[in-house]
Amino acid sequence: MDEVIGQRSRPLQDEESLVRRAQQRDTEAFSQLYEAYFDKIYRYIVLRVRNETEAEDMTQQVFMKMLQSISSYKMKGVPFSSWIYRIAHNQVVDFLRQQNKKATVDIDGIPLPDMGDDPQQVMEQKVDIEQLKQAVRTLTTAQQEVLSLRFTGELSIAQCAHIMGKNEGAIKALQHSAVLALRRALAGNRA
Amino acid sequence: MKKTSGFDDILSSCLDRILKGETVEGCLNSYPEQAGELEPLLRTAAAAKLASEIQPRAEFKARARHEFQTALKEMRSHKVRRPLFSAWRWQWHPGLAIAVVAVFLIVAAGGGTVAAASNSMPDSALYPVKLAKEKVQMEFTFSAVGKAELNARLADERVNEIVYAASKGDTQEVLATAGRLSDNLENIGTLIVDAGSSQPILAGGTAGNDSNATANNENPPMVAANQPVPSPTPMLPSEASPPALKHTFGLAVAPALSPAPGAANVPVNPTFSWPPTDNAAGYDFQIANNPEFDNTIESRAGLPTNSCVLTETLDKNTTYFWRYRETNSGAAAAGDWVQNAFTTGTEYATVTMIPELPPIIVTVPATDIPEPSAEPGNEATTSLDKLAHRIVQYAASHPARLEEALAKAPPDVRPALRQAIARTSSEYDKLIKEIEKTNKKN
Repeated sequence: MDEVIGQRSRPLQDEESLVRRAQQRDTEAFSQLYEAYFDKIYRYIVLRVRNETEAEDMTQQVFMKMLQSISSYKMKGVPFSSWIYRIAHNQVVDFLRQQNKKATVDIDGIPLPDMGDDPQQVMEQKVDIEQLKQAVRTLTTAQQEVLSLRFTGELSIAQCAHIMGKNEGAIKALQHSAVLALRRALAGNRA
Repeated sequence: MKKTSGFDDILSSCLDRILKGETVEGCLNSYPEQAGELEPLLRTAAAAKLASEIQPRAEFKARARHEFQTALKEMRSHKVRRPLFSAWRWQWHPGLAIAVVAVFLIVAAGGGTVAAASNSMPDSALYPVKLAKEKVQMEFTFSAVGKAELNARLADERVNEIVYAASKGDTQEVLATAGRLSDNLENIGTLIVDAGSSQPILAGGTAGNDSNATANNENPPMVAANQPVPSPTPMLPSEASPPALKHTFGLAVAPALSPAPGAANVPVNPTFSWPPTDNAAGYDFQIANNPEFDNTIESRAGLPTNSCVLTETLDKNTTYFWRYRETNSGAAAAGDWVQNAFTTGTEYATVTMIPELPPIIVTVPATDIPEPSAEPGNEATTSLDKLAHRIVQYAASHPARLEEALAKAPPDVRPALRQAIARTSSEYDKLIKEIEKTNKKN
């Protein structure tokens, strides 16, 4: 089953060669990598960070970091996508750690949208992006992360495991609990 | 458990298929036995696919792309071009600069170019000379403690440069200088291990503070200070350390720079002050409205104390550059200039009061710290004390100064500056841990 999952992310055509060129300071290669990953990285971050401006700043930081440290990336079994998401992961972790030092808004206080009567209808038709963002933010940090990686980064279980520093079994279990919690967040609080 | 694990596999496989575009029904048909449990989860997942439609704002995307392309161009131009010096378009290649600086230092004890380079900022043509001078200084510093001290001083200089580059909106220089700062801090860590292998790093340079020791008996933080705590993780002694026996050292903080580096809205008649230097005979002070100090507004030599009050009132809403250096008695050369900048405000104001900072308290288990000794031969320990105290002070002040710069920096440069702050804080965390570890070892 993992083999199927392992193919999930869609790498750039000849990404390896692009990365190699970028490591030699080829600006065109850098630009292609930037365009391929910018939106995805932004999505991953904005789902996890409440403040949109912060998410934008952090997205830029990820690519500045890529520019600065791409020479340290080694193509030894770790896809480039895992490497760049790992940078984003570290940015988010640092940010959340700093946020935790300050007083933070109680996420339980965030109102969830009125979902109507039929949860299934809600799921399939009425959830908009803002509602989804709000619901995701009520989950635990790890649940948010696994959903962000899977649904915005479209990464495989194996890649999520590498980025989050867990084994694949733990990621699958976490994913299960995350989807369950998301469902509750989207519809359950009406009960 | 096994059943759950199997279900997790099935769910994972189905999510994968849904993300690829398959329908919920298609997945349910593949697993009729689990369909009841799967369906609500897969419908939630189908809704969560919306996440892939989140788009960054168009203006942000355009701005970010432009900044990335600019950084790319700068990176490329830095690769092939070096700052030019003089009308002959002389290039200060690092190797050549090091050789020239070495000759200047040895023969002329600091030639004019080298001296001028000491105050140069990263965008100056003389900056490579400054870096070369530092390399030569490092080569001619032989002890591990001395090298660590020099790296600490250079780290302070790097912070000044980052603040300056940020004020100019120069992202590339902020990143490059942050990299140098990180190198300095990493070097200190390595050197501390060498220097502290035979003695504790923090042996208590100043009088103990028993009242604090009592107050902080339970789980005292390594750095409990008025300053922002630089570490994301509290520096607690290990659980194995004796909880009831603590010895706390009070470390008086040198007066902060005033006006603070990069400060805005400064009164037009500020009082300048800076950290005192041990054994300085006096201080020189200059202020100008340009970083090259072409036409100084006021220049004072041989000030007896580490402060200065101007005889003239400054203009409102103007950026000024000021610098100070220690002077030494006899024929000894003066120290290096330490340069900072600030901007005056719109309002006329009276004398700035220098806030009195409470001391930084460094707490470590008493069992790990030998009593301070005044005996001859204890110089190495004293140097290590000074180094450790300096690092503790910088661990608080450097991230704080960068945070100040962040508040005033143009939006373009903020991501790079945030990165610099995170990196600097993390490096200082490591250093403090290293000090703590070395203390425990000894």
